[in-house]
Amino acid sequence: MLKLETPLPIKNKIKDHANNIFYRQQKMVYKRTDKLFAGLIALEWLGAIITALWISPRAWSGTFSEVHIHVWAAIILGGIIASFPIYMALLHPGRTITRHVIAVGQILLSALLIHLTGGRIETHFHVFGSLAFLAFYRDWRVLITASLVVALDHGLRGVFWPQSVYGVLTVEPWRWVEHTWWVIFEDIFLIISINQSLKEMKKIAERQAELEDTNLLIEAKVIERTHQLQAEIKQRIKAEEEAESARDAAIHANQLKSQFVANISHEIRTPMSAVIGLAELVAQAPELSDDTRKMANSTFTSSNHLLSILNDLLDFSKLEANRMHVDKSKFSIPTILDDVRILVEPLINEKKLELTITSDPNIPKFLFGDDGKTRQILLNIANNACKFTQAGGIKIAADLESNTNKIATVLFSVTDTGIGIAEHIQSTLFQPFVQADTTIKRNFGGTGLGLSISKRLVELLGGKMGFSSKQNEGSTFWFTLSFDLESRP
Amino acid sequence: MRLFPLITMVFGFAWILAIGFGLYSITKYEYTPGLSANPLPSWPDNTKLERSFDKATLVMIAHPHCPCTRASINELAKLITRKHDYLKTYILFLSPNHMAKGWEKTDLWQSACLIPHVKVVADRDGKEAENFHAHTSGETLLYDTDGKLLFTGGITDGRGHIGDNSGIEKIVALLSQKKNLKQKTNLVFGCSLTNPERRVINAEAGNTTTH
Repeated sequence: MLKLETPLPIKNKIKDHANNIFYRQQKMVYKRTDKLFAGLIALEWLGAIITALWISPRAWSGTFSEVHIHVWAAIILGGIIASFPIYMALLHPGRTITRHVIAVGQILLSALLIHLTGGRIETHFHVFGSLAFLAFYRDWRVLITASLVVALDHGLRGVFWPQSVYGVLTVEPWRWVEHTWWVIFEDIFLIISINQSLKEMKKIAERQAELEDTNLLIEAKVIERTHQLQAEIKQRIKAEEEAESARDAAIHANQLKSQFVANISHEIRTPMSAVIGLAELVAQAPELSDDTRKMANSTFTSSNHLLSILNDLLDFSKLEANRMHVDKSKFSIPTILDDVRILVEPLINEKKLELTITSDPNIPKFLFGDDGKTRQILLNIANNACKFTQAGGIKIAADLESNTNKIATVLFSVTDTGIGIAEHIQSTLFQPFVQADTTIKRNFGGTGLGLSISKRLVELLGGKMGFSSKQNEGSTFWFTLSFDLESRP
Repeated sequence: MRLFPLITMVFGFAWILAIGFGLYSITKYEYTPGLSANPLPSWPDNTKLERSFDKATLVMIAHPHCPCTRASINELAKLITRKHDYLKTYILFLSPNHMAKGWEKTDLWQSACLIPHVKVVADRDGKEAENFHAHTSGETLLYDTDGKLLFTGGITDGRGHIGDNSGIEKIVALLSQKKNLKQKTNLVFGCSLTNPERRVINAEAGNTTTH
């Protein structure tokens, strides 16, 4: 298995970081322990006073008594011993000299307490307790200082008042070593414990350093990636803005074009109406020869066809330019159906087809809506049905789909038995300028705008339009429109 | 390296000096002996205590309120535990006539009463202390079966200092010997049995001074 090695510069950097964390934590331990000792030493001073007052409150001479010198020693000497360590702990916490002063003070307080209790063996445990407490610093040097004070105290007493230390007046000069040994004995175990604690602190610092460095690396990566994403988002926004402005420009250009086409169609339709009218008049003139009349009729028919194309173009352009307006007026469905019948009947008769028109009697008698556009849509799909049906018949129906007492929705449908629509072009049937195929254009004519205009008109009026068809069997085109039952502004 | 403010250095120096002086003073006080007894070489005739004729008689004279004497009582208890077969023991507690009744019945008295084979006696107005020429609480005297004084002095090596001491060592050695016993003495540490004005008279008589 391949083991990935951390590069040396990064290793050194982590090591430096770990060292910094370790020293910072060590400093915190020193400061915290200094403060602990400030409190402890103050309490010990208080304890010394209480001890003196309890054990030896007064010194006696017969029936005469006075405050015992131990009480004064506890108050004054105890206060002096406690003062400097507390001062150092509060004013210079964390400094090396502070914890050594505290170590000295702590052992001197032990000496005082031993004095005050008459050298009780139990009070000597205060020295061992103090050493254990000093181990809180996790600094073995502090224990050495404290132990030196113990050794010095025993050494000096051994010289000047041997009975105060050893209970006998004549002792061997090395006896103080025996007493100090027990202190050193505890020191050894405490120093081992301190070293283990320091090792653990170092390990924790190393782990923390690795973790913090990893976090920094991740943060840097996140920042870098965030910048990249921000740049990408900016680019995307810019591209979208450009696309939007291009689309707006295209829509605007399309509207301009539609407007232009509408204007032109309108301008062409006026003279075209004159041409149609004049062609009809010429065709009706009695003195014309048969050939001339034929030409006049041909001119009339062609002009009508051209006008129809122009009308489609005009409607489509209006829809494209959003200039198609909806008019509302009172009308009835049977009237519209009758109008359509009149207009398609000549072609029906010409092709010898059967025309069936039905109207749902549930449809309210009068409705309010755009009857002109409704008629135009129905006529358009009825004309298509006539155009593409060679035999059989056409059925035009109007059925009530729903009635809410305010709005009535009517389903119009035109069913034929014509050529039907091939499946592959059904999806594009409502798109403008689309016809089933080129043969249809050739055989049936038309602009390919009729269905597209019808669908858009239905949507403009708030309805839906669709169809179903089977090739060579026929088609059904339908649309729904909603009409008000009452006149509304 | 940042130097300490001058005030801190002065404080530290003064601290060392003050502690040195304080510890020296208190230690000196603790190991300065009281006024030693100057008893007759034999059992006093005018004492009301009964001497033993078949074993040694030990008399300790104590001040009932002296805190230092607690150590003496403790050391005596240890001695009795080891050598009670060889001893008839009295502890005399000072009981001045002009003080309130029960003045001498302190916790020290109670402690002394708990030691087996020891007779605790109230020394009315310090008469017995005078008979034995004792001036300092904790003064201990040992007499042989013939009433000869064998030991006089304290049985602690410091004021209220508990632990092995030369006084006990000497008494134990005397009790272990059968013949050729020589009188031994020891320093005594404790409160004065007499009021200050009487102590001055005693001092003028040639003895050392107590507190």
